[in-house]
Amino acid sequence: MDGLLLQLLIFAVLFAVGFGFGRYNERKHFQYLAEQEQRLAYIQLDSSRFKSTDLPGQLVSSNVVISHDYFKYAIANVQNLLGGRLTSYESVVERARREAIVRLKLEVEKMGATQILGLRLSTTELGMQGGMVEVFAYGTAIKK
Amino acid sequence: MHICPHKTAKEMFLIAFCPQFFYLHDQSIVIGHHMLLSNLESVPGHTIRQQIDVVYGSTVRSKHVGRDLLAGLKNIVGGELTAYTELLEESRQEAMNRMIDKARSMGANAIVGIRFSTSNIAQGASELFVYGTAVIVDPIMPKLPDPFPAQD
Repeated sequence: MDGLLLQLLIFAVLFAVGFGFGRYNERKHFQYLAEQEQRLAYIQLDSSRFKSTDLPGQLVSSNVVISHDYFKYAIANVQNLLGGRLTSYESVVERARREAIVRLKLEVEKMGATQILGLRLSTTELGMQGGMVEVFAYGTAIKK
Repeated sequence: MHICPHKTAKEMFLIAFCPQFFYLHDQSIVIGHHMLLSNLESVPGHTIRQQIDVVYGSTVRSKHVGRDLLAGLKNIVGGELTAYTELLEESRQEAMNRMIDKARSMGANAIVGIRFSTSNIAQGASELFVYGTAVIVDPIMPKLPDPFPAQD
């Protein structure tokens, strides 16, 4: 009985910590992403296959690994039973993807280029129980 | 991944006088100037003279226990796992260096159509794989202005 109570207590603490920190982190991250995206909007992205130019260019890449928090993990487990959209994980993947693109643009900005051609995104799931997602973005930066 | 980072005067000196030293410490700096990389069908600003072969490089990596433990803690609060981000970046750079070495040994000066793929082959270990086509390219010569423009 005591063991069960302790387990419940641990779960409750993790749940609360996950909820608090996770919410805070996520909000801060989305704010940061919105700011950076607006600032870097001048860099053109293109994902078409055969486009090329006569201007010099080189390969650029960026990656990011983002994990879920305990709150999301618990909610996703419940949603998993019912099926349908896992809204709590959707936001994790979205954050990772946007962050990867922002980092790619920051790298391109450092080089002084203004265009990325042939953008490719790849997503990989990491970790023992999943929940960690890696997004890798790469493309060719074109200097004008 | 810094393929061609901006170099300081000290780094330039080191590259000029002891490239071996630099090659050991940061392969990417030396490589960036010898091999043109692109994930398009051609290197921008260059024409393909000769196509050689498909080259690839791969590496399988896993994290050590300390990193995994920290990541486990981070799983509670969520957010970015910087240790993993760096690990994967390093591994990818290594895979790319292997690919570039292969291309260089074939006498290529560029790799086009580069693709990356990642897979989890075992618990806690991931394989990073990169492949592309090794080619020889020539820069497109900028057109010189006509010295005798047609008079009209």
